[in-house]
Amino acid sequence: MTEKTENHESFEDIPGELIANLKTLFDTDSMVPGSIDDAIIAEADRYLVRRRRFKALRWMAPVAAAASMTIIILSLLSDKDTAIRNDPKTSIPTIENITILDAFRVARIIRAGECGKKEWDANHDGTIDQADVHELVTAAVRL
Amino acid sequence: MKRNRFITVHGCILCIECFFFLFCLGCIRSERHTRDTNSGRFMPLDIYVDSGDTPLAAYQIEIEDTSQVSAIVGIEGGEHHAFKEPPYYDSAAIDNHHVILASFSLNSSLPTGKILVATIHLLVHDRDGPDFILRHCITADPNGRSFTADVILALGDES
Repeated sequence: MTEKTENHESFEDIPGELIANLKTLFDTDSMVPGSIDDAIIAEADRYLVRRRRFKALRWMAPVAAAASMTIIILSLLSDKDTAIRNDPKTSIPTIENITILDAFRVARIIRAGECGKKEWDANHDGTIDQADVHELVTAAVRL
Repeated sequence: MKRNRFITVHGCILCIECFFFLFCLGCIRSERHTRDTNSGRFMPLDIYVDSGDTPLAAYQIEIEDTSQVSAIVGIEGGEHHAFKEPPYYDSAAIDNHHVILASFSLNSSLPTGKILVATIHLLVHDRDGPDFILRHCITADPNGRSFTADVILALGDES
């Protein structure tokens, strides 16, 4: 764009007057500096980058909306159950296949003052006492 | 043209999502409103154990309302002093239709025959009433040996 070429060799058979007239029509004395070209290209690049960013962002809006709605609905559905399960007073350890008979057995052992088996230490505090009985009972009635 | 199509498609998607969200919110609120405002009627469910001649020292009974029309609102103990205290149960059973009750006694004086071991207080939301089934029952004598006993459920008068 900035390079100005003059090649008159291939126009030898064309009348000089025509060439002169054509030069008057299309030729110009003004030069476009290279810095303006660079600025135009840089501005075009910036615009294209913005377009690409917008393309990525326009998909994120519906996805984010759907995700937030799902989270709100799930939280509304499960808040009550969570409240019950998170209450430390009602938390019950997960001990499978425990029945009231196990708790009753440990209670009888404690009452008789016998040395209980290590496996009856349900709360793993190193001693077999009423806390273990309570632990076993709560496991037995767990829903 | 392409931009118009994009706006139309995404507008439709957002409208559908908003509609779905409001629909779900409405359902949840409606369910809660129904649950909160439907007073229903209160009914006691008496639980008896008939251990025959064997002294009853411990029991565990699992009960479920298969019709799911009742909600447990309270549980109290039985008539004999050995089981006077309310039995153990998971607090998640309250406002539910499923519970496991369990209790034991180390008393020397234990009941025999048919005795009331617990009463469950229910809030019933349906005219037809609840339909209870016994899932798992354990009864034991003072030595901790399990034995077979009859468990009887008796739905009392509404209040």
